[in-house]
Amino acid sequence: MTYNPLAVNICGVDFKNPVIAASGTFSFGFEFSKLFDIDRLGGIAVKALTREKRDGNPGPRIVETYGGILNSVGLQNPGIDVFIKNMTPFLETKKTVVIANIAGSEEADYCYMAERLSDVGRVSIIELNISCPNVKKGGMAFGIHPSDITSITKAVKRYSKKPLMVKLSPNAADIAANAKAAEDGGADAVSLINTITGMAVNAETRRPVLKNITGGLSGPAIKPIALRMVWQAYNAVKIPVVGMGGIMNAADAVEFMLCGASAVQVGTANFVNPLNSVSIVEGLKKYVEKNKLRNISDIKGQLITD
Amino acid sequence: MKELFLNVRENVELVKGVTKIKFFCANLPEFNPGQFINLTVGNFDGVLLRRPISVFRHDPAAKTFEIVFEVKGKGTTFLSRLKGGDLPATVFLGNGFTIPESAERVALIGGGLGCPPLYSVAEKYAENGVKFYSYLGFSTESRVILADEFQKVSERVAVATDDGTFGEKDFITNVFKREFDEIRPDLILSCGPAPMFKALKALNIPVPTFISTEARMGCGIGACYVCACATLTGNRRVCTDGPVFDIREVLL
Ligand SMILES: Cc1cc2nc3c(=O)[nH]c(=O)nc-3n(C[C@H](O)[C@H](O)[C@H](O)COP(=O)(O)OP(=O)(O)OC[C@H]3O[C@@H](n4cnc5c(N)ncnc54)[C@H](O)[C@@H]3O)c2cc1C
Ligand SMILES: Cc1cc2nc3c(=O)[nH]c(=O)nc-3n(C[C@H](O)[C@H](O)[C@H](O)COP(=O)(O)O)c2cc1C
Ligand code: FES
Repeated sequence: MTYNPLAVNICGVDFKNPVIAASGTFSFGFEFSKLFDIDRLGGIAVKALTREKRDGNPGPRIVETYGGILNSVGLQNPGIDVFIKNMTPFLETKKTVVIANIAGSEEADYCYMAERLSDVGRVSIIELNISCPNVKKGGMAFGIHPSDITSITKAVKRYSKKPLMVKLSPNAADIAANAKAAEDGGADAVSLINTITGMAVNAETRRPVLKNITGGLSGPAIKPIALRMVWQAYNAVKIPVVGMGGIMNAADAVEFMLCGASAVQVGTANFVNPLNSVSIVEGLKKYVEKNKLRNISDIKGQLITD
Repeated sequence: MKELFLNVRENVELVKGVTKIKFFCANLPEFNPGQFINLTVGNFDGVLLRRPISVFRHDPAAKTFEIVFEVKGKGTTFLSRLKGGDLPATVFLGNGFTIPESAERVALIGGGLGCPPLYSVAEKYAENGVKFYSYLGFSTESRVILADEFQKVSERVAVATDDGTFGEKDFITNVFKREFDEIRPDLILSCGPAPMFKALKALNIPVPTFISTEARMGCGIGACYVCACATLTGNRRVCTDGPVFDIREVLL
């Protein structure tokens, strides 16, 4: 077999390339698989799962802002049982790495789901979503203070037979401390950033554009913040860092890897063009060739700061 | 559905602020009337999201289709200025309207820019002998579009304007109500603004009624759950479960 210069390993899991579809923008992969072969991606992070089915927030739930989008979906998903019963058979037919993103209102919800998913063969990594800004209870509340992050990570770790990736919120005072807190709790990796809480207002109607009033900002507008946070997290922990926030093309992905990311997730770019994630894989191939790298991970953390 | 490049073949202003574009593409997928496309509106210059626009007319032999849209903001302004070139788009999305074999007399009730997708239904099924009765409502004379096109595929076309400058001065749902006993439709299809759907629902007509709804979209293909339509069975995705829903199911 020929050597694959894009192959990366994150907490013991092999990815054929470091490009992962970000949770909430790719559902469970089924829709995008009608447009391209999703096995060309390193992995997919599925829509956040909750213990019970959730309906999410009332609409409108999305608004475009300059260079970004605000969303307030609020974790609409069919619930973990339906995921295991109805979605995993489709995923069985695919080879891409599946990351299960989980969210809950209480610590017990997270533990329950981690335990259930530990027995699901197609799930390789559990992504602990303690950073959703669009729910009233739970979600981001677990992801702000370092002590809360350590304690929920520790608790879930006890129930999870799969590697645990903690998804960090940018709505935090000290991202380095929060990354370290996840590592202290036993996280096998951290991913960041989730969306940044924001608002859009209509001057004519004097109303917020989103029914939920606030939403989470994603897209190119947040990239500078995401890069900074990935860099700070990378310098604070030894576990792998998965970077995201506004990645639109291969150059953006490289920037995140230079700041320390072992892999990247692509979210909003999937809306701009549904083929963007595979374009990024192709772009990384070219980057590796052009720069004569043995493996893409040779650039990890190689930001030149002198 | 397919991700394709659409070649701009024609761009005409129908009335001030309303544009019609004809696209050509060699490998268009199957089309069901009432479906829409999700269209790129620029090379990233602060604009990220695509814009959902319904198909007005489809010519499978010529491999072309047309859209009709109102110029509202950044995206539709960009589209209205296109003179040629290729645009990436995801093509023929959503469920579209279903016309059962048994349907013989179909009432179409359109409000403003809701009229174009209804035309795509009549265009396809009038040939098969289905009779269409078209009720088109607009705010004022200068906004009236497509009345001549509907004439060609309908048994009857009624136009109403809010200010009476063209056709009857009334809401189009009222005109429809007055003529209901005469036309006796066995199916009602509607597309337009939410207040029109409310008025239609309030008529309480015991005939199957389907409406084409709108919501702000992210992906347009069913993967992001942002395009919520509140229904009796919870939030459903306008882009894939809809845009066409049974009026009884939708919480208006
Ligand atoms: C299924 C579907 C079919 C449609 N078909 C047509 C059609 O045939 N003709 C037509 O004129 N219009 C149609 N619309 C509405 C059209 O999508 C909006 O007018 C258009 O997106 C406005 O974009 P803009 O950039 O010019 O306006 P802006 O106000 O600048 O848009 C800002 C954002 O809001 C979204 N948005 C604004 N208005 C709407 C709306 N009514 N529905 C959904 N998203 C909106 C835009 O997509 C964009 O993301 C349809 C909408 C949907 C959901
Ligand atoms: C519509 C939408 C829904 C999202 N849903 C989730 C979710 O369910 N779970 C999660 O961890 N992150 C969710 N996110 C956040 C993304 O996974 C990602 O962290 C964020 O959007 C930043 O990346 P981007 O700029 O590439 O989109 C969502 C983002 C968007 C735009
Ligand atoms: S727009 Fe993404 S699910 Fe409908």
